[in-house]
Amino acid sequence: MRPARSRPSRRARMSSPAPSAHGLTRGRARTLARTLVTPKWLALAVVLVMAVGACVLLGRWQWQRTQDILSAERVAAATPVQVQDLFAADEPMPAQAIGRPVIASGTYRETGRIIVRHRASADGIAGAWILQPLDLGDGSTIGVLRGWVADDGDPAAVAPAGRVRVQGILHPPEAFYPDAINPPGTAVAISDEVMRSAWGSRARDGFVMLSSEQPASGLTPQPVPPTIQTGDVPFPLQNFFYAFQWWTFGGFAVALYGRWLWLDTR
Amino acid sequence: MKGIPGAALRYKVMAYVTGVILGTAFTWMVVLIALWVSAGNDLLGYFSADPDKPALYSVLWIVHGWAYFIYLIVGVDLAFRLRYGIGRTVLILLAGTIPFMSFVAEHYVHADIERRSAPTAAS
Repeated sequence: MRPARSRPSRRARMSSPAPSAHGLTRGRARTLARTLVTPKWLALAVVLVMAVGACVLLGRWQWQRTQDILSAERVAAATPVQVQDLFAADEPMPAQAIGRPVIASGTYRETGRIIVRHRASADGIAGAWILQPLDLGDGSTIGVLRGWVADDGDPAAVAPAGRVRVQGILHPPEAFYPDAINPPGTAVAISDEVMRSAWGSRARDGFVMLSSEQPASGLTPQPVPPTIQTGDVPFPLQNFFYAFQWWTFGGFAVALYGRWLWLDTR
Repeated sequence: MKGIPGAALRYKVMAYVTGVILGTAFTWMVVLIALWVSAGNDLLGYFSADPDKPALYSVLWIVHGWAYFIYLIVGVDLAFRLRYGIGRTVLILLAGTIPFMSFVAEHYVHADIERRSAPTAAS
């Protein structure tokens, strides 16, 4: 702050105290250096190093916790869960369930098939998507989008009989074309209204975009890729802030040491 | 040094804010652990299993982290103005991390300032 050589006019304006009390003069620096190597300040330096080291380690620990929590959450979000465990049959799909990999076990209801018209295959060829209700055995039903066929009459559209275990990505219901008039067994959008009117009120919100089906049937519709984008898992802000705060506390300790040394040598 | 009343007020506000938040969060933690243990779980398992907690509970700890951050700044400022030594300063600063101790520290500092400014004080 204070210039090394003050011009006389400035010095004249300066009221008391002696300049050495404020700036770092050569004499002051010598005093500081001498004080630093006294037993008291050497001991305090050891305490300071330990305190800063502890702050650095504690900050690193919280930083590691942040990373560990994030990766554990990502692993958990990528692990398929039973669709019944995510939300109840009469509940809307919660936001965190959207895009989750899910497993569902049950039997396809052959008569409930919905042909979703004007849908493209993975390669962009016009055709239809096949949405089949899967009765989960608890009275509820979930739609499974089994894939794409070029033509409704395709035998691949017929669902396998017997128990199946399907795995796929959970999609929210589609909300477009609410006023469309759909001939029975067909739809232009996979809305809750369409599914509930076709399958009854125990049809669950949303549907599963099929990725695998067991036992595998010989003839299946062509798989279509999921279109849903999933957000990232919640960020562990608490641990992240703690890491930052620990490191800043280390800086505080250095500032305190410097300030006390300064006051002590005055 | 000048500005002691202002610094003391800032410190008082932060001592109460930090103290109330830490007291609430700490009491809540004790309740959560008590519920955990009474559900037939192992005490240490609470920390290793890290069960899901209410969102507000985590927010409270985040807020305490920042409140303590400000508490440190105003505490250091006041300790410098009062020319406190290292021991007293460190005790005052640490009081913000121990439940209900920031109230004690504030009470102590307040009494100290009163004593200093008393006109009968010998000097």
